[in-house]
Amino acid sequence: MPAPKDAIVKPPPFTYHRPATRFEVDELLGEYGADAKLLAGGQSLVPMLNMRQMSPAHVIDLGGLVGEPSVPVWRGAESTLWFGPLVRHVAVEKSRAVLEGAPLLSKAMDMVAHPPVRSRGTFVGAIAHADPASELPAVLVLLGGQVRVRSHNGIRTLAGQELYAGPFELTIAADEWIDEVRLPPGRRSDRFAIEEFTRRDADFAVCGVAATVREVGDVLVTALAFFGVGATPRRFELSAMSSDDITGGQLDLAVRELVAARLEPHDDIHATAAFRRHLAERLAVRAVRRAATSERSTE
Amino acid sequence: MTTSFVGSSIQRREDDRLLRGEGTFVDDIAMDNTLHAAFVRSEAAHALITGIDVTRALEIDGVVAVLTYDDLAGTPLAAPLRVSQPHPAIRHARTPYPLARDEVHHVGQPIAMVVARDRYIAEDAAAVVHVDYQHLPVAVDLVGAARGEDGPAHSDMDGNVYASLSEHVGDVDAVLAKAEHVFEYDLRYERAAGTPLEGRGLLATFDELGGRMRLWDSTQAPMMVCHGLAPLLGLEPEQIEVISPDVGGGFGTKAFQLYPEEALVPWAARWLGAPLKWIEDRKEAFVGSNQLRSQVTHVKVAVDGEGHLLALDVRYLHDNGAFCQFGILVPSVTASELSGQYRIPNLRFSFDAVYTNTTQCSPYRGSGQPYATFVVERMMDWVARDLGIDRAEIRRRNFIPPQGMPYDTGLSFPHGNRSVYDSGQYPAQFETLLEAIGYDGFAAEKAAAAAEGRRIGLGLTCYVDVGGTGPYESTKVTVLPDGSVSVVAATSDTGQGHETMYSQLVADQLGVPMERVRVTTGDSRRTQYGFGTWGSRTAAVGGSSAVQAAATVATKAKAIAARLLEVDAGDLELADGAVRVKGAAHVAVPLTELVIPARFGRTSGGESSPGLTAASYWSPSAMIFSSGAHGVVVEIDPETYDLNILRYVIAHDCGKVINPMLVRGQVLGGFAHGIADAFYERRHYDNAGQLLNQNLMGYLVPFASEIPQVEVRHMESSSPVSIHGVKGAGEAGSVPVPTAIASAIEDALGFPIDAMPQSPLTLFELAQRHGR
Amino acid sequence: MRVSPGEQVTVKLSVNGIVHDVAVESRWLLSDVLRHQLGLTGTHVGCENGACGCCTVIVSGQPARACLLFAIQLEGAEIETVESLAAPDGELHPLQESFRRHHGLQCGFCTPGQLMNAKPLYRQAPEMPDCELRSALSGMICRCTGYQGIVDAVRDAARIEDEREDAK
Repeated sequence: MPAPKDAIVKPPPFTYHRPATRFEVDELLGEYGADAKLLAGGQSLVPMLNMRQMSPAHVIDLGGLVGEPSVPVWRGAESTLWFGPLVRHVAVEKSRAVLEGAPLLSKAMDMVAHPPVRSRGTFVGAIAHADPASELPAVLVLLGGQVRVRSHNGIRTLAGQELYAGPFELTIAADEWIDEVRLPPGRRSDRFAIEEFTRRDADFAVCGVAATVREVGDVLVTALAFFGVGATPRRFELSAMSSDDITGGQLDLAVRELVAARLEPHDDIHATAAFRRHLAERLAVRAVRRAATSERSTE
Repeated sequence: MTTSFVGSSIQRREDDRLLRGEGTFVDDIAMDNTLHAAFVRSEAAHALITGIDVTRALEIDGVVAVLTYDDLAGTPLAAPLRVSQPHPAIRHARTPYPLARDEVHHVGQPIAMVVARDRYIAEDAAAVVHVDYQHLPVAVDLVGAARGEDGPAHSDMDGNVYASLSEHVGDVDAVLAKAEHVFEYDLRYERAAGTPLEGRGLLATFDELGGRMRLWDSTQAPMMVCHGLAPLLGLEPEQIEVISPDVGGGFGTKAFQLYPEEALVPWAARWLGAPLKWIEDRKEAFVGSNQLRSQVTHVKVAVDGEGHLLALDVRYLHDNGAFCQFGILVPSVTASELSGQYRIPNLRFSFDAVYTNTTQCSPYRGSGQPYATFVVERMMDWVARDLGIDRAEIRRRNFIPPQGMPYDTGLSFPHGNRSVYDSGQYPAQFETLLEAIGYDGFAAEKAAAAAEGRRIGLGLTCYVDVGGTGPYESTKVTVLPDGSVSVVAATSDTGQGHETMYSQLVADQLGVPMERVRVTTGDSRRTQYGFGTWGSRTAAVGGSSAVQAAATVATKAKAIAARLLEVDAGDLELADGAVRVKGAAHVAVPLTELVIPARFGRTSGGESSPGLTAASYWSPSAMIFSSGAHGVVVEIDPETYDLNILRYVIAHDCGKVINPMLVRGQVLGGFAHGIADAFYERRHYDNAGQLLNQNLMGYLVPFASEIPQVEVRHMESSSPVSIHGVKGAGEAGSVPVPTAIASAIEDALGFPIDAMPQSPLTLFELAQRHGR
Repeated sequence: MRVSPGEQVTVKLSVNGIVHDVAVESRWLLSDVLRHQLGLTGTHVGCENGACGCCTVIVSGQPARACLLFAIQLEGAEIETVESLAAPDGELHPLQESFRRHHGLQCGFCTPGQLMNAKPLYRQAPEMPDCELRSALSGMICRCTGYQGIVDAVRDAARIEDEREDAK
């Protein structure tokens, strides 16, 4: 991110577009591509504009899209949980469908920003913003969610894992955008937890981790996705363990190995890479133990 | 009976308008044809400016002017701003040019001023002014800068030390040489800033016909701004109307003379012939508004076997940022309190004040006092540890007893009086604290927690807090023809509730209902001589002047009424808006009927001057010190090193209390700043002098969720210095908090905490270093 | 709809129940339009990147940061600012009254934002544990009070309101 210039907190001039259909968005992005930015909730975009960390020539406001649902909905034969481009955080937070179908996401929503930001910010927008400190991309990746990517050339579907190229960076082209996020239905036996460390209430995470624990026969299969540590969210599985392993030292060892081998934390003023590794280990152990000992989510 | 407002928690008169959104902050004032300023600020911490290209900025539609140093040539603004607090110890005074001439000394220093039709356009233009820099060596680290290893911060200096000062009482060296125990400790404190929520702001308009400049300024010190501005504008102070309207917090940041913008905006408004507004944005506030807190200290202390303090030698470095407009005020304030609450017969301090290529420093809530408390009180904990004496007991053995008051520390206070404590009950206050925090039972509590794998610790600190600093403050009290009372005070309110406070004081003196008192503060049209609001001084010094002025008015009223009623003035009292005979309330003259006789100036009747009016320039004859003790129990998460405050107790003594609700508000507000200073707020500079956290997401001002509940115990040791026994309350809440937290974290984790602020990261690193 | 830089378009903004036709440029922030176009200066601006909470207003029933919204986005939305809180006869809203009683403000700069942030939640506040209430009020910086007065005020506002209802 370029250093913002001093004395600047008003947005730069831009041409404003308010299309009424997704098709029109495709056309506008086809025309302006990298010179355009999409505005949905604006809770990440507008601060960056105000500080002139970016100066897009065109801003395309999705707020005028007609007929878009404002809440997450079940869709399709497999009961996929489906989020349109105008579903705000507050709607996810209060959604019964999410509570039942993706309770981990419900839990994560408690950690996302403050109410005046949740009231405007959108779920799809947060997924697309690719902030490595955000809980939501990690949850998407952990739960095996997908995004639908579209442009004037057509529509394709990407696994969440394939979406992220780096901090604030997606793998999709400049004329493409994400118009849907889909989460698969959770299994009844899945258990989960999310742990994060912030300096103040509801700040972006210095380090965090979401965990799912699934019973497979006699053993427990644990998957983790970290945030605030590393450039992009990735899903990691630990080798299968018994529940005794999880309450005992085996889990600590497995997590330490994973963190040492697979995470590449960064330094900033709140945490050095070494502290982030330490936090990642401790929070992961906490999360897995909590998940493993929690009530099953959907029974 | 006369009513008494003083001592009551009267609701604030300021609140109604503020709650309705009807306050008037600078940016709320709209004038037709107002132009808007934005500044191009240095992106380099230390560099020569080799070129400024304003061409593209001037091409933007709506841009009126782009000013650089060259445009100021031949004006008083082409010279560096003044040192407003000079001191003979300053060997190398360096202050900024309003717009940088050829060398910039910190990121954020103004280089060019853009004026445009609106702020959006002004920022568009500021963004395309191109500045070429030739980078120079940068000094950021205080120790490196002091040793001359980094920098120099000013290319015309050899090193970075601009002033040195030392003072002593007794024979420190002799005692250190033969004492039973001598201990040495090192301590460090890092940079933070006041960070008021409303940034600085200015709206200037010049009346050509009347020859008057009017400046609305979000400042704590309008009279100082007025007098500082006069020579720059070539006007008399009385031609400059500086008005401090509602001000959205100050905390010292806005008690300054002068910021570059404060000179440039009024000057340019006159030059352009149009009202000109500049509202500091948050980005500018982080690099352009003053900061404070970095000091590095080495302590040598001599004690006997029982822990009695025999001699103390304190050497420290003070980081003043790039300039020294406030001289050496802050490190001198530190020096004045190095005796803490203790008898220390032999005492010496010496400090070097140092330039670095960072934003300039000036007082922020507490000024130099948090360092003094940190040094003295951490030392007390460590001496206790090193001698194997209980932390509370060593303090008991060294307290200045109440019968020792007033107590002369032997040290000076900057710009005036000696550092003499006027009153206080330190031992009793401390016992109150120990009882409330549960000191005696804590060892068992800690052991029980440890058995559960929890790390808890108890922290203690005592402190003194100077309030009521001079030189003087002015208030004018007048009974108006309708019988209402006007109070004009030179101080400026930034949220303390001065309108309420002055009303309480004056209403009591004149026996009128509070709603009959109107209060004007911070308006140089109404008064010229006075200072402003900082250093916990307004209630004590401004308050004393208000009481004195009102008492003079009351004396005049009685003298006139005595003639009219043909009674002795000594038999009269003021109550219910009238002067009446004590014990015979029906024999009375309403104040309204005294206004005309007073105006006709029957001075031969004994009144000193015409009018039911009096001005007081009350000056404290000695220093005024509040005091207190803080205790805290914290828990540190052994995995994340996060801080959880389990309980916090403040025992607090600020003398007589005018309004308990307001005092509590000051104490709790200060407390939150203290928590911030202990664990959340720190201005992080990199080695190139770039501020890494330039916004409120990276600079962690605590929310309600980070600030715990506090138990406050009040005591009242009336000040013999102020007229009404009042001391200061504005800073005491914040001064000792980091020290108490440091003491508690040390107790919880078992390794020394010798630097503030701490954070989960620093505690993690300390724990690693100590093998925990 | 397409609006070029510098071009002004008229939007219908519903603020405090009154629909205003306001000419705006696309980049003008709601906070600036409220303050400088409509003269509603009770909404204050503290950081302009959504981090301080001063500019919090209510948009369609939910608290929102006015500095993170472009006025042009808000046609059709119901915007409420601090100026709407007191009753038409001037009586302070129970929240305002409670802030006064509990010394929930000092300089008053953050106060309008605090009030608007608290408005949707103060009815639930009496039942909330202290840490939950403090968390609900987080994200809103107050630099003066140390928050205790604000927490107390939000907790007590519903009682003040009920007391008033009973008196009627």
